[in-house]
Amino acid sequence: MNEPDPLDPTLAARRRDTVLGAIRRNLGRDAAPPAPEFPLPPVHPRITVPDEDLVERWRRRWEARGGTSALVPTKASAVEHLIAWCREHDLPPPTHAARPLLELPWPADWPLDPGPAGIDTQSAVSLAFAGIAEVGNLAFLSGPESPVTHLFVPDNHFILLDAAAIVRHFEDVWQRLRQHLGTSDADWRERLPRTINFVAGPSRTGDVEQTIQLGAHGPRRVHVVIFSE
Amino acid sequence: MQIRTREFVPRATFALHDPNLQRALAKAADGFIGKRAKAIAEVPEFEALREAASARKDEILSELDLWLERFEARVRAVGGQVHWARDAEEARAIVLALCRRAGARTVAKGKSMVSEEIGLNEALAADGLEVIETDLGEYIVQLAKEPPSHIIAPAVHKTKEQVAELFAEHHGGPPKTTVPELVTEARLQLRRKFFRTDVGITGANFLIAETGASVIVTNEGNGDLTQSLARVHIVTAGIEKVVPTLEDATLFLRLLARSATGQDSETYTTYSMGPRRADDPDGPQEYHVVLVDNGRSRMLGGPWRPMLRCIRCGACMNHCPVYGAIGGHAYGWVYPGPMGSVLTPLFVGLDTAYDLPNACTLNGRCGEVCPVKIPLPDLIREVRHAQQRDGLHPPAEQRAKALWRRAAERPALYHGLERLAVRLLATLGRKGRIRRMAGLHAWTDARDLPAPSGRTFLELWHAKGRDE
Ligand code: SF4
Repeated sequence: MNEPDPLDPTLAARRRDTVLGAIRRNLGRDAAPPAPEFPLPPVHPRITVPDEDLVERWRRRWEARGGTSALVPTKASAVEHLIAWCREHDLPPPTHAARPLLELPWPADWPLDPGPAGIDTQSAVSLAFAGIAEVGNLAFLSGPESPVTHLFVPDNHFILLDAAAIVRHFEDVWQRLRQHLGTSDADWRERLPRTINFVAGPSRTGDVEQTIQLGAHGPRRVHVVIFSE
Repeated sequence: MQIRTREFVPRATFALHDPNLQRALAKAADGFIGKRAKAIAEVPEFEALREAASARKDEILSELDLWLERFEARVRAVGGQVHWARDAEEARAIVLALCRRAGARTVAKGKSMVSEEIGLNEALAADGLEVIETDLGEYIVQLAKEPPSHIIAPAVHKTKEQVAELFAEHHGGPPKTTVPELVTEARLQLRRKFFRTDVGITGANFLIAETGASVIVTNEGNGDLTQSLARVHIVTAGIEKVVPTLEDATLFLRLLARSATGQDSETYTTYSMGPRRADDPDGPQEYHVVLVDNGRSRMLGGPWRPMLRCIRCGACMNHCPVYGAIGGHAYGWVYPGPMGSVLTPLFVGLDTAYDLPNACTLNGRCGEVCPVKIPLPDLIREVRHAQQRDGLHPPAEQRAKALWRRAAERPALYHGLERLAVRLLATLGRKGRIRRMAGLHAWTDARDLPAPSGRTFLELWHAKGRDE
């Protein structure tokens, strides 16, 4: 006799009913209560972020985690800064970039590929969706214009961040996300990206004797260029 | 994972005499406790966050069915699938079937305690799949053919020299001498493997009902390479991991990183919602979430429910003097330390894991640091009561207790014996300490017993009454 296929829909439905049934029995009720519409986001305690310059706080927190950052006047001037930065630190120029960044005045000998990063990709440039001053995190949305592999594969990661996109708390990112994705006739959740990624500096590990070492699997160096238009 | 909880006593004894382990544990405890304390000192709201998180989790657990149903609906809406597993065997069968259907040969794994709990690696390997643990700590213990000894630092029991030898044996070349060299070596070894992975399996720190997201936090980025470069992303998660909204996840994440590693956030926090979209250039083509019950629904009823608040931060074991002395392997299964002393008996049986709750000194530190305020000492005591009710205490202990009870019921006899005992013990003391005592070597080898003054509390009390 053949073993039953664990993915068989009838079996799957039975397993689902058993688990949900067991939960309800142990909670002491028969069926699920009628499902109300999704409740408003609950309000939980936050971490006080003093009313200081958010860009300043963001940079301080980011750099405390081993990341580097710089301020430039305009988005286009980030290019010049990166050329100088790569030369100064002897870093290979980026080979991959998020699509919206391709329009910047890159040097002719920096051909930038908007496709996914491959095993040999050394360096990529991305555009952040937001910065979070609370703890010095960056937020990214994956999508056709911003391959998720750019965040994790290269040794060197450059990121452009709009100063106006630096918010106080994580909750502010969620609010922005709902606004950014929602349209007048569609729920924001219809347009969710595959991933929302928060990044706080270079990849690190403490798995050998609790000694913090940068560059475990992800980028070893992460440099953020903050521009204001 | 093989259950070796019955070997607790010999394994603990062995651990106490393993100099490498003792060195590694001493170093780890200092690091973990100090880093956490520093991170928390910076956040005056920490206590308020704990209160809110524990109350919120109770609220969620009381409507768990509802949130799971909603989570499932959202996962479907973003193009993924939810699979329900009643026990470990079903969970393994589901993951295995998904791997077979994908024609997989190589499976990369991010860190997942549930996958340890259901014994996934062994099952996948038995089916001929190459399984690669990608978290550095998990990779080290996989090479050493050992289980993890800590829920967030799996290789915490290994010294640098031991890791270097292990790497030299498996990767070739002379043993490295520094941590950076070791980390780079692992990075290069695993890099190639990520790029030829068919299936990526991760755990989930949280599941979000509102968006169908599974959330993972890592410092290395391994969980992200695991899921981004594979064709199929499978998430294994306990049913208690679901939270309603993004804001709820934020609440728990504020506590998790600080409690676990003493950082204000981990390096990567990733919300994954479904397979790659039609125009996406990368990401997996399939997204599956395997929801594992395996005894959790039963814990919802009765006194154990608060244990389901656990966010697997590891703070309780980092602050546990027993864990600090014997390490995680002595506990004999997936979950060590205080949380394991409650969870393991509930998962594998009150009798099979008899020694775990009984090794506890009830000093209470675990309960004080738990970010979701689980009353761990109370629950450990509750497990002991349950063992007592089931008549599981060893005969010698039961006889001793019966004897003690008979004496205690006769106050004159009891006080007489007591007077005798304190006088005897007082003669054994040197400078107020008893350094060695016949019959109690296991105890006095590791520490001194304070010697009594030679008079019982009652005698002193009466004497004091006379003086005043
Ligand atoms: S019981 Fe509390 S302290 Fe221990 S791992 Fe769970 S959440 Fe952390």
